[in-house]
Amino acid sequence: MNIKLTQAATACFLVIAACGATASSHREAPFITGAPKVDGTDFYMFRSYEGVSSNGTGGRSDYVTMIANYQPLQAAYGGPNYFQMDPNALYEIHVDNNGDAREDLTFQFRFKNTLKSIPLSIGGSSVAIPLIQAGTVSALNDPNLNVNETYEIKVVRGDRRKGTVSSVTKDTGPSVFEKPVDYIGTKTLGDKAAYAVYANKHIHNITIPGCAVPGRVFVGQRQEGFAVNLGTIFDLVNAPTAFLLNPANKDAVGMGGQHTIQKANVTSIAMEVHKSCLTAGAEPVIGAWSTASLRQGRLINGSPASGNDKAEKAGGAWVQVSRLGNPLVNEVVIGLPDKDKFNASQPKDDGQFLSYVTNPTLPALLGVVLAGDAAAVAPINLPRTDLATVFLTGITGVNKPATPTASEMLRLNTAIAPVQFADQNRLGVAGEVLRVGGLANLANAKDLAGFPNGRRPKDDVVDIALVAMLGGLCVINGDNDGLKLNSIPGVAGVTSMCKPSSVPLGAQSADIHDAVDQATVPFLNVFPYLNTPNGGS
Amino acid sequence: MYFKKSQLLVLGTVCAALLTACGGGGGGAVGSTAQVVPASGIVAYFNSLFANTSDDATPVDISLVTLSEDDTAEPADIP
Repeated sequence: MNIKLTQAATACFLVIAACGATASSHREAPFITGAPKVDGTDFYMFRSYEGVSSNGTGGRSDYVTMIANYQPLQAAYGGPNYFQMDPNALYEIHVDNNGDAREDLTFQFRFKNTLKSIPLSIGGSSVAIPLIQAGTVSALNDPNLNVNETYEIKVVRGDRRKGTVSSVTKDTGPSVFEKPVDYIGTKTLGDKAAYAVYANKHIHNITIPGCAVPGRVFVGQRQEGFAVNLGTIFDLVNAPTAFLLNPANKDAVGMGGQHTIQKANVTSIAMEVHKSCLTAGAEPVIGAWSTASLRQGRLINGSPASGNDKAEKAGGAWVQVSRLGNPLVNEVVIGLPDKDKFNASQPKDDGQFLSYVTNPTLPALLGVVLAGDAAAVAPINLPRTDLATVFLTGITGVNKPATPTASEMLRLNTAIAPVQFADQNRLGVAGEVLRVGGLANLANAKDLAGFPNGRRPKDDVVDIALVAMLGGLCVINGDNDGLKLNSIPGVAGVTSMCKPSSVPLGAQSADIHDAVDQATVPFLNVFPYLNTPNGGS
Repeated sequence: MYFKKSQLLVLGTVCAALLTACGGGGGGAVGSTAQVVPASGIVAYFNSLFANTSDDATPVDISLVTLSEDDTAEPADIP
């Protein structure tokens, strides 16, 4: 029986991982696969750990970093146009600071591509070149850039469409921000160190109206930081089973942070904002999520005028087409018929998706497919109050606001100090509780600043999600409901028995990994944290 | 049947745009008059385009069409 369970657990894990292998939110819903420029892929939010001391103070520790990634799986050699943001799109980061599932602050990003039409004289005729660069590039607004990409930022207080709108500016006054060109290659932009110097020129100090403390912003290409055993899993889980249950092999195919997906790039919108500018009153917990929207009306022009971005005319209201808070939700929780609906939805309306969380199909489906028994690996505490708590309200004593409204977003307790990169537990809060030997020893924990209390680049959210799906949190919750996972905060009348005996896999549920260790992926120890992108040559 | 003023504006704009786009006799004709479609009339305008096209039509000339933008509206329902 142990062998059967082990095999089932392995297969279960692999299929869950396969679902996650569309990556955190890369190409996860039918519609968004056709609109990669607005495909939100990952969202991070954490207390900044740049320059912090071992006790979590100093440096940038009083700031919160939010990173919204878009445009998945960029091949570094993707010229000649590379990966500009969509000038006809609206990219947003929303913050709920009172637990009512409605945004109180929204940061809006709009992009603009300015074509210079740099010409060459060919036989006496002035002819525009076909490339986005006319030579080497190293400076802000470099004269050799044929397309200059810039953006503006608005902060909206209140409803994202009806609220009060103000412009975010550089601390020197201008409201237009420069974005670095993608890492075309070493001949255009120099080696990786040179590109890092160039990219860092695009970290802007910002003034946010209504915020007394300046922040920082960076928008540009980064190395893909999300780690998952991608191609192997898609190929019918083409990996030895024994590797996947042995903790010693947690990075067996990760190649020390250089797995296949790390050879791709993404485009990051990174902001660092003082925590006092994000919180409200005495409530330290904030919830946040990223979105992208397109104009409702889009006409393809059969006779586009000369210029840049002339092939489409867009108008009407903004229509949200991408949404991302917690990783993996739209992949492994929301059913296929509702993935586009989820991307268009707002947290305040998440009641429509509740059954996907409380009564998840995946564990039972995996049991049927892999073990011929729907009950083989699925925790029996239905409705799954543990998953609902993690995804929809936050965990009591960790990241639950005082009065939560059940809704899906990434929640961060800004009162919990950041932890230096080297000391961060790759399995987040659950990993730290396990490390100290359970809830009884929680006082010995030194890192409760990881997922699901926000999300840092190092947090291995695939492994954490696997542990949660298979009931690992109920093992931690124990027989005495130590994490208050037997109910859903703010939701009356929904209870379960989230305890070890409800978990078919028992303590083994905490050992699962996908053989690619997120913690080995290279990151920066300073803003914008995600690594310098891969070059095209 | 009575129309609100805003509805009449949308209807009129859609009709004008269609007449321009279709050149009075099918898709592909070149429009000669600038048309501004109000943001509140985008869906009606598109539905009218859809109703007047076919697989063998050439693209409607939209070079003089402007689709108005609205940053404060919620998306219109699509019937």
